Amino acid sequence: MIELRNISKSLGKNKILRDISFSVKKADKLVILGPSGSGKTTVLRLIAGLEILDQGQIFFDKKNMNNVVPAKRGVSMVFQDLALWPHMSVWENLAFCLNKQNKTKITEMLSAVGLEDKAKAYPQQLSGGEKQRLALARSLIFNPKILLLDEPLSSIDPLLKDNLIKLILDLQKKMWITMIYVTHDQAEAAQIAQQVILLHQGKIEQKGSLIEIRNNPNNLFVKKFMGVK
Amino acid sequence: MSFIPKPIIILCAILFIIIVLGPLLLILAETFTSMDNLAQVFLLNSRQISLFKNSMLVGVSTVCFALLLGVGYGFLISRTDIPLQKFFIFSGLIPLFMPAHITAIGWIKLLNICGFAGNIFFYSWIGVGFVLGLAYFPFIMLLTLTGLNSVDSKLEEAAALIHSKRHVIRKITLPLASAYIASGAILVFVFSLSNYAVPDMLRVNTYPVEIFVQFSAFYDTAKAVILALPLVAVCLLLVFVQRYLMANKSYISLKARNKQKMLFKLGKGKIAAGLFCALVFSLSMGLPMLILIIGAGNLATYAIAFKTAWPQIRNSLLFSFVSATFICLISFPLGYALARAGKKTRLFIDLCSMIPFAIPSAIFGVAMIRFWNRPSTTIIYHTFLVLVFGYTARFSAFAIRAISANISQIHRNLEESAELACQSWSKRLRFILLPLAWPGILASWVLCFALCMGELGVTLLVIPAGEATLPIRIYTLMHYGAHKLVCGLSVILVLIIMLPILIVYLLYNKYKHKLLSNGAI
Amino acid sequence: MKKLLILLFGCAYLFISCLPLYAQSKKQVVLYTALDQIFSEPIIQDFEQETGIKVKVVYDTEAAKTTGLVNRLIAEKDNPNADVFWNNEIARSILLKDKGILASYISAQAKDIPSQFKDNQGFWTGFAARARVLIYNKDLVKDPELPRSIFDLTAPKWSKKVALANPLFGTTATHCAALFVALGDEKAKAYFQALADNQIVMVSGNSESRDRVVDGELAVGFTDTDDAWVAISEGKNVNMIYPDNRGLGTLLIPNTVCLIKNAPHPEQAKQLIDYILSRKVEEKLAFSSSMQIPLRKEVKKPDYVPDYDALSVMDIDFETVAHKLNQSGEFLTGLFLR
Repeated sequence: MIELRNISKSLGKNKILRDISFSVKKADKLVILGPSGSGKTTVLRLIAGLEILDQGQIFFDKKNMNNVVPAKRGVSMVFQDLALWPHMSVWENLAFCLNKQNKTKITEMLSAVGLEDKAKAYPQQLSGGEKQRLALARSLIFNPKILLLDEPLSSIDPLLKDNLIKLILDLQKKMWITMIYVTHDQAEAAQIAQQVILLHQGKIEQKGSLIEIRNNPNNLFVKKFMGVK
Repeated sequence: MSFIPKPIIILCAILFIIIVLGPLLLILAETFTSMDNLAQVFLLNSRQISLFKNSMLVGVSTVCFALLLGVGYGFLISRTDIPLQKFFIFSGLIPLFMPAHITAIGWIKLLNICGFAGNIFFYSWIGVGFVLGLAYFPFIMLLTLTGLNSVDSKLEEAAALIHSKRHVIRKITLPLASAYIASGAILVFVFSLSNYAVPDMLRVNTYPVEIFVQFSAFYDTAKAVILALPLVAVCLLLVFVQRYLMANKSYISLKARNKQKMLFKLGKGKIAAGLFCALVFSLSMGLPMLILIIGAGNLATYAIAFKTAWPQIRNSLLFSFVSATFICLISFPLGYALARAGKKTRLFIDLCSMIPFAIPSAIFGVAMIRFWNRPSTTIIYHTFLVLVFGYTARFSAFAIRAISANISQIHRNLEESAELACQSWSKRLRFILLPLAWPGILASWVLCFALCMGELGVTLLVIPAGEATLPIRIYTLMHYGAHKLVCGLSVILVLIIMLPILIVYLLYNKYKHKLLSNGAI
Repeated sequence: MKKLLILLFGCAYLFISCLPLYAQSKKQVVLYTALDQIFSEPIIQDFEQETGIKVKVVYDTEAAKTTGLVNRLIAEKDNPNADVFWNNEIARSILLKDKGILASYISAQAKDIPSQFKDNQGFWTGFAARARVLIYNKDLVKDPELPRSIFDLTAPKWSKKVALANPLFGTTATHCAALFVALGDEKAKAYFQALADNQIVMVSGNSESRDRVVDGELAVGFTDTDDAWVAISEGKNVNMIYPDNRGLGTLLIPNTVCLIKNAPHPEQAKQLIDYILSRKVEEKLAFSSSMQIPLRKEVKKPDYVPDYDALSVMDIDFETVAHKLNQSGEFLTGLFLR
């Protein structure tokens, strides 16, 4: 479904990504794991079309996406700081993402994430977990083919985390969505997906399942990062 | 960048270049092709040196006075428990909107009444710095406010655990805000360099005064244009200084805004602080206005003024309304580009939008005539469109800067998430960007409206035959010595300028809670 | 959104298509006038009523404060918009002639205007004049010690007591240049040097010169008859002297009216010039509070307006004066305005 071929990107003199290639099958899940500054977020932004590629190609369903504007890619993204529109209520945040007002759809989505009684509230009036749910609802309501999540749970306390991860996985399964999840937290990664890509300084250090990586680290960095003795 | 489609930004940029830079480039080209004794003008004679010295002294003394007033004022109204805080915020902004010549009229009359007419101490660069400092301190005040708001309160709190608050403010808060204050000082410096009315009134010979002399005593446009070049050069140089100061400083103060700011209890100093702000208010605005109101006498004057000057009042309202709207329309995409675009585009817009600040209005006026007075553009030159363009040329830089400062405070993620969710750019613009950016647009509109209402220099040179504006009316009456009517009309002009500001202020207070709760501001 | 755009363009189109209506009407003439609106407006209204021609006017503001109509006329040279320039003085009309901005028109109305006050080629025609006078405060200056000549003012007793407007602008500039012509460069320079040594007070304009004398701050001021008369007619404690009635003579500065070269409405322009040069207008200006002195005999005037014949008028050629402006201006800048 998603295929990245030899992607490179630099900002000024900094090479952020070098020669990245990977693919994800339809309705599959992938975790990009890596320390901060490894270029994880940039991968997502390139897939979404928010940044322009220096080199390489991105394919969705074998179609080249290099020159397609973000809105036409069918991608949605949950940002690290959620980026909820502060001047719109919960309902309006969802309604904006639909071409036509569709009350039943918004109501359904609200109940799916458990925000039925918060429709009129503004983002500032929500708790951390509720904001997270709203962000998730907003990114799913327009039926995207691909869902990108950029460390969405980094500021959530551990008790709520499990709940939210369950919600994310439920919805992903139900809606048959291809998902790429970025995190620096191995435990989180383990809960999300089998397939993991380990990124470091803009390069893929290792691909595979978490257990494989842990058992057969490619190099010293991987060893250290995974905490293998 | 895709929030406003590129074609629209390019269209606005082209309009900006034609309307603002076109006339200036044309007159510059004409100057260089017509002059054969360029060297003579540039020759450093004693007069040139004294001009440069006077201009610099005026600039420096203005900045000193403005800093003295603005930093203190800004600090007092944002970080202390000063009495009448709301009023002082409002009154501190008003001098921004006052036409310079109106305050000048008030000050001349005031000086004459106090017996300071011709006083050597006041009629010098010190006096000019004093009057201009009073007129321009709001710029410093505003940037001090922004600077203070941008300081992360955690930094202050960390220091407050060890030191007294007084020490924290001196060692942590003010140094962190200093880049903003310095960039305000640069703006004030530029404005004071290109101000004509006050140095002329107090008879200090600066570049704008000399330029004016070249125009109206010797009718030497070329020389006047050449004399403006040092101003432009200083101005452009300062753009780079400002960019250096503000590099790595984001204007974003979103995080600090929601948190509690560290407040400084004034205690016994409360009254002194209140008196300071009251003094600044009365000097900058109160006294000149009072003089005008006393000068106008009873209400009958206003009745006569309204009756006789109604066509001019109507014209001024119409021209200013259309101009302010047009300026905001083209400044919004450009301000957006300035806030969001790549480095090169930003530098280009930054430089272009600084030049108009340095050009005296008379040069603008003549440049506008040379540029627009041709058979193919009769439709512009013979209608009030030429005024709209003239005002755009002079004032759009303010709007571009204000709007861009506002937009750079909106986090990009908010736009990007909308970009993924919604295909229609117009819908994104209407529901996401405009609602988030409207405070900047509204502020620019009000400021431009006020500036257009008071504009005289360009208006006078390009106004279509048979029309007149309120400031022109005031000045035509001044010579004749219609003292009362001049005062009455000046008061009316100030009131008209104040009206939209007052409305915005009241609306802001009424809806503040709603706005704060949904985070639109 | 598309609808909105269409609406927007519709409005813009309507707006633009309406503009030509706003810009033109049937019979009209464009007048630039430097004479105060308060005096020129009634005359223009009379002309409109008599002829049915619409006059579009651009008024100038106080000379010393603005760059004014002359700069505009110069800048508009390639594509003139004005038909007639009614100047409240003479030197800048000559400057415009030199710059090739004026056209020649000899009005039949100007026959009996003294030849000193009109261009023999008809590029400009003078009428109703103001005199350069000294205004004095009656409390501060008693009759016996009145300065009868401007040369008296270099005496030590007038030190710091005399006002002179900025000598680069307006009628003051013309007056100074006229002295350069009448006295010769050397004598004129010596005279102004003496004034400077006597600490003459520089003020911004002739009206400020008057106001400072009215307020009693200064004893005597150089000014124009119209400025002085405003104060005198209001009953202020001041009076004026026509200086040098014996000797050099008083400088008279006439209004001038000129036809603009390539004027868009030449026929109406000539009609307007004829009207402005008529005796009626000189009479109206004499009776107005600007008390302009008629240059022709038998024009009715109030008693306080002096007879042209009774005045000893400084005999100078205005073209020479106008050509002296830059030189005298540069000298005086160095002397008074450092």
